[in-house]
Amino acid sequence: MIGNHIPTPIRVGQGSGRELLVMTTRRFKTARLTVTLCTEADETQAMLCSLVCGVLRRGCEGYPSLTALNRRLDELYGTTLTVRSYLHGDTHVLALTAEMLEDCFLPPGQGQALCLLESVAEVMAHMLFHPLRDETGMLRATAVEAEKQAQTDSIRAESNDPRTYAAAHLRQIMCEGEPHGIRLGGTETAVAAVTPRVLTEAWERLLTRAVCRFAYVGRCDAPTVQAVIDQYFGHWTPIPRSRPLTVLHSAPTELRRVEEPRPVEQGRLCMGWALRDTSNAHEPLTPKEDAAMTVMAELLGGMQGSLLFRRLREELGLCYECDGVYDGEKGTWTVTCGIHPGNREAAEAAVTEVMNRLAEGEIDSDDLRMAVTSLGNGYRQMADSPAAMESFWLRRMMNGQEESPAARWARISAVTAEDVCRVAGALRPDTVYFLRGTCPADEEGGTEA
Amino acid sequence: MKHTVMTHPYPHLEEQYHEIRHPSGLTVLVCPKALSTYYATLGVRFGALDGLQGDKTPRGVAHFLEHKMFEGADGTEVDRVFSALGAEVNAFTSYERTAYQCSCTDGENFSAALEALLQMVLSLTVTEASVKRERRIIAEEIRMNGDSPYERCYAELIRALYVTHGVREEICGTRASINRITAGVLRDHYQAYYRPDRMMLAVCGPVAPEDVMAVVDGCLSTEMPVSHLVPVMAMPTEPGEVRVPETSVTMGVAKPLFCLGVKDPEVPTAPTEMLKKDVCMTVLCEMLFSCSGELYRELFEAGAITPGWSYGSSLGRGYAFHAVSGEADDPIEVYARCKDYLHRMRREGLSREDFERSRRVLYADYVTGLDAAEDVAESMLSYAMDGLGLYDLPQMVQTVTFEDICRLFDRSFTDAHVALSVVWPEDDEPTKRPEKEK
Repeated sequence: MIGNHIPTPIRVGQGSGRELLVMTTRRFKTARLTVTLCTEADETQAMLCSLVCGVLRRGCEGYPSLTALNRRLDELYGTTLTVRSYLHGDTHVLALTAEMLEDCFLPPGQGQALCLLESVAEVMAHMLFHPLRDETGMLRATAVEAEKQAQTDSIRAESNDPRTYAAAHLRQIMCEGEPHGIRLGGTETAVAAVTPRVLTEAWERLLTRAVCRFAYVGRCDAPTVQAVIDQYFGHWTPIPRSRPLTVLHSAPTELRRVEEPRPVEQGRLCMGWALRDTSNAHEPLTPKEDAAMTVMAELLGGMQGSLLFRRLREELGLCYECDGVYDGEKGTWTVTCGIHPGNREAAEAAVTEVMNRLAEGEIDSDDLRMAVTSLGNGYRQMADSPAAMESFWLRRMMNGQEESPAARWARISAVTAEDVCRVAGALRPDTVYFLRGTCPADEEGGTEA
Repeated sequence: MKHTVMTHPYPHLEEQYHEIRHPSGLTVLVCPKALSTYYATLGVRFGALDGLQGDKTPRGVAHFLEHKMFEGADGTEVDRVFSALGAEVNAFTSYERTAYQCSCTDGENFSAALEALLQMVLSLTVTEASVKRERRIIAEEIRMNGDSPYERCYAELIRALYVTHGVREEICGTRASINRITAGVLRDHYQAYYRPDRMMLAVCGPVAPEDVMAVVDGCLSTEMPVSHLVPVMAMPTEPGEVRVPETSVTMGVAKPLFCLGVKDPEVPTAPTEMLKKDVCMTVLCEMLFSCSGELYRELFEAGAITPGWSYGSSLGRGYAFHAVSGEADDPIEVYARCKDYLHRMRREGLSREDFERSRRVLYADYVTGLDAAEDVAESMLSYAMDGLGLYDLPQMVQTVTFEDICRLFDRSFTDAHVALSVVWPEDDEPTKRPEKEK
């Protein structure tokens, strides 16, 4: 039964501005504690948050350098502490996550001496609330300048990896002007203009105005976790705010075509569709549409032997990989694949052909069943991953939903072939972006052994 | 059929697994775990270092064969068989082995999926037409890898470290070498290497050993197959020193990427010695190159490197090296600083505090890897193929001494064993670059 082994979180402090979700489970040898700070996505704020992430990692009171912080985490049996900045629809999320061993699995004799959850929470609290400041009370100028340089380097390096660059660029083109289309790290010009005061104020604003949640997955029960959170974060009283809302993306009236040359051998073909256009932009995505799109995405590009994989790779030999992604927050569907630059038209035609056949009702019942089964697998496997469980529930909370995995699965398993064909037919072509490899592709391979 | 089951327990971590030797020669490892996922991995002792013609074997045969195993008897791809069972199937090729995996969450279908996995690997369908088609797909895979500056930087480092050892060649081969792979070449290698006595099966999930063995019994004969083709284990003579101390390529990157490597010419063959070496290398790597260490602190605080920095060690058949990679405006300067740091460590000695901290990190990494069915199965397989048990590592971590680490450092971290690979941006000043290898 789907969802049997996925604990429903105990929610503490709903409406307080600092909610805690506790998922107690004895399945794992590790525990996980995350704090998320959510704001409406805005390129300036997102850029500043990325800088804040880096500055926080450079040291804090108690651990006055990156080295001191890392050594403390090593002492806590290799606890990892990551700071991430990402988009969830039109919401920007800054997440601080610690993964640690459970005390009972430390080497014999160590479990009693150490309470890792408390020790880790202490480090997280220091990082979040007590970064190093200079005598004016601002974040240290040396740290700010160093992070600005690191962020500038990161912006310039975005194009290093053609695969990730192409996928991100498609999103930015499709959603240009929308919160979801922002560049998370900002631009070089914007970064260069940041001062310690600007960054300090952004960090303080984040702490007071963001919608904040803690999530815990591990062996401790809710009262124990709550006691730890109260001890180290109890002084933090962010003002309760309504969650940021996401607006569905609308396809333009005419298909956008963008081509960009890059000095690589392989081309990247990226195609995007949207469920809404200007005629129905105001209509929210219905649960039925969402479920049908989830199944369609699995059928076309998610499952083993998906339709696109079969057609482009197995039958036509055009690519090694072909991925499809459905974004349920924005109502978009994108396909990306790596191809020989000379096969661009053939690949685009093949993708379009597969999409059109589905929209016209050509759907094999076995394929549909396999897609639904594959999704079912994914839901069951959620119970085997603390990260997957945490992600599922945090996303639900961000969307203001409380639907359990079992309930969501019930919607998905009820999807019919007609539902899938209907949403496939409702998709509007939005953008075709081609990263054209300009390095000569050696067909014969030369004479090397 | 009744089988003798050897059970390996690890009470402190609440773990145990079972080992069974099937009459066909196949070794089966089963780790029952109360999870939702059933995961099976079937390993074959045939990797990129192997070939019937020794070092004259076309590069990429093992990887090409891995691709072809997914073709069914009627020419269709077998992944539909797994999809119908609600299972996923995948595979990878490394230098020493090829492994095929399946996973699902439906207990009723797992036995059928496991049977399908065994049947897939125990038979080969290949024609010249299908080889030609697969060649195009693999060519795209090679292009995709070649377009990644991070992959390229690392690959060039290995080529700088090693003179003759096969580890310097790409696992996928090259577009020229895969053109020399024919259906006949694939069939010959399949016959020689894909034998049950060269295979191991590892399974993890809510499964009992007897259920796994029932499937194995149904798929495998009780007699070992005979082949007139003799697998060749290439063991070229590899000098201790690096091939070239510096190498570089140019690609479309924003900032130079670098990979610094340290070759260790002493590679044991006995399993316990290999494990000790692996633990010592991992701990030493953590001590020297982790983000908690002095080297990283010096480089990071000086702004000499970007925050992204990765490090690790590799140990296999006839090869061992450490590698650390990152991005820097002046990788030559970073290289010089790294060498200065290593010289300083030789003079001043390593830190015992760093040793103890690194052991904790290694222990934690190991325990974390026991949470997921996939990680457990792959680790069981990997250790077993090296002649070791899944639970040998934590005991070795406790056994290894600070003096062991110091000896390893003194022997291997000398200038003759160090090499640098750089990927320069296309518009960067040529005077900054090291002399290109001849």
